[in-house]
Amino acid sequence: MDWFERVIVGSGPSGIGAALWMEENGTCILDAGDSIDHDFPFSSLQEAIDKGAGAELLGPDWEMLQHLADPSRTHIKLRSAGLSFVMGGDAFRVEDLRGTLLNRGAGSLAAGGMSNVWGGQLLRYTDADLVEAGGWPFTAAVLNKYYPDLERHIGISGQVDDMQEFLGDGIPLLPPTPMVPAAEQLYRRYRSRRQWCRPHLLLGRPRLAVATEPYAGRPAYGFGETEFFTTRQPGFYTARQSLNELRARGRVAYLPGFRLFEWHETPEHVELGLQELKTGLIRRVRTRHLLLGCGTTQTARLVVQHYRAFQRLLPFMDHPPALLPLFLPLMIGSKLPARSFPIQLIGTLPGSGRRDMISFYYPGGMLWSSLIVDVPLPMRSAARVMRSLLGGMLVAQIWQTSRPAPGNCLEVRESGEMVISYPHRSPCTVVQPLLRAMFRLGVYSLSRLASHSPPGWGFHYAGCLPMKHLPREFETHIDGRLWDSQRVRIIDGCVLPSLPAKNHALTLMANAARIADEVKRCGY
Amino acid sequence: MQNTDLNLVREAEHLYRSLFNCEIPAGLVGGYVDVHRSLAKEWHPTPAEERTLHLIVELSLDAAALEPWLRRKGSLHIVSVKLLLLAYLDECAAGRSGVLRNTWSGRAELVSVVVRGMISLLHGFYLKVRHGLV
Repeated sequence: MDWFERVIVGSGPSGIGAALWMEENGTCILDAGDSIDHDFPFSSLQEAIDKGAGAELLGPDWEMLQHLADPSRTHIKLRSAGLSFVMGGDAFRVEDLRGTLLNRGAGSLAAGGMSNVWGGQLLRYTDADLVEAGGWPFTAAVLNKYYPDLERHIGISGQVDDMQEFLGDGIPLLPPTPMVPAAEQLYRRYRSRRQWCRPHLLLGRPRLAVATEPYAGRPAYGFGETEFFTTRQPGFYTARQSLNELRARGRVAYLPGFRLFEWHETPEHVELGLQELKTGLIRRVRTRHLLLGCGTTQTARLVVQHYRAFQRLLPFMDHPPALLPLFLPLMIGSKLPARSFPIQLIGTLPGSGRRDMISFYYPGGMLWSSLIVDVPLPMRSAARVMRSLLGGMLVAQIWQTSRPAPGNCLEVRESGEMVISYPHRSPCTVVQPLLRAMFRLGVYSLSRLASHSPPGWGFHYAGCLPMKHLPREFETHIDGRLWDSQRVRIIDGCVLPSLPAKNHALTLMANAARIADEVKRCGY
Repeated sequence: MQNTDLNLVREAEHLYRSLFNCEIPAGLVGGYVDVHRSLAKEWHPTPAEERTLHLIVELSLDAAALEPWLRRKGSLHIVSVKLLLLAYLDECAAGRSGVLRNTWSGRAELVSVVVRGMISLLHGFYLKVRHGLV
């Protein structure tokens, strides 16, 4: 039987966050290790379109078109053949109070997990975030010990500006990403009128896992608008890059192609039951410490199955964002940029007394056919309208703080089926204040154009096994241990007690690193 | 109406003309038929939707003008599905119409397109009522 000092299950942001802190002999990363065989051999979306690369864009089996009859079935980021494999794990359903299906999703079996499709915003949580969201058993200072090293490892682009206080102390390491003309215009207006804007709106450059220049042996990003088609984008950091680097350095063992299906804990060790996905063969591994970072839904499923607590309803949180198109009339009809990055600007509304986060997107990386059905005109007119409109259009994505709410829960059935009930959704109250703030900057929209994503579409799942000072059943200790365990720890989104409005990816990595430190210090 | 290849070719030719005001490239017809073979079993149109599609093709009605009046949230009307399918194929295939992507136009064209689009909408509403399409 194989023996490892520490086994990390999952190679997503949490698993890699822990592995970077435990890069030493005796550490093993275990994951399903899915990747995609075929490549997207174009440096930009425009190049693919110019070459009429239908097979690469729409997929060899028309994967991109599988949502046609029901666009709400698949998240737009997961429709292409090059990305759909990322969410290929155990499926879950999201339902409302009456049991009506709102959405479907699945965990990730991909090497690098859901970081393969993340937007790249890696942000620190501050004390203000944790206090507003509530329930955190420690202050941001605890996480601040881990953020800087992670940021140095990843290479964060951005700049120090009005959003510094909201985003936290981290100083971006790389120049900010280039902006499209519409975002440049909006940011220029904001800066020239900031004394009138500041009480109502703060605007700044996003902090992104994008290498705007070569960094730590990684090439600069090409801004080819390929984010919706491939995970292989040199210069855009994902957890898989760190996984590859850890493997290359050779101190951490890597077991790809396995799934954990059970464990048995004794005072001396944890014995894991693993199944090889290709052959179905069972393999047993022993370890002193087991760290579960399979992603919130999959980790919750494993824990429920371990305790056979199929009636148990675990709390569940997500960040379903609201989307609001914004129009800059003077920019309509301007020439479209050939290269861009989706996230252009980031903002918040300090006057609202909340800490909502607004990301301003440019939808250049999407096929226009995915957008024309949202224009209330005949499709032939909509297609032509896009040619003028896109140059003067940004999409505000509004993220709100999410807290545990009665009824919002995850249930794992004996069959293995996972059902997420999400009847309680916080109303999006910042659309009107945002519209007013934008109006002052000459940017226009209507509240009726706002659309609210269904629960499950935020991909920021959390909260099933929240960490507490004195955990009860189905909660975790602050050092990540399950409530009744000495050697099994949860390191992913499951342990977050609430979700501040910011993307939680960097915090998942920092918290996993913190728990890895606890493992090293625990003395057993 | 059965989804025979011949019917699908006729359907593709008419819908494409309605969408882009030009003849469909031969390569796109093959793609249209191929997508139907792979995915059409998941579309589940109602009998009323099938009748609407049948009438649009048989009477050569302006599908693109009608479609906004058939559009709905959630699962799409079969006419919306087929027009969208042609839009995707056109956007991604070689020898496409060039309406989608790779081009940009100024504000003057926007005004004219919106005005024509609204006139087209009125025409589509007339067709919907005239033929009792749902």
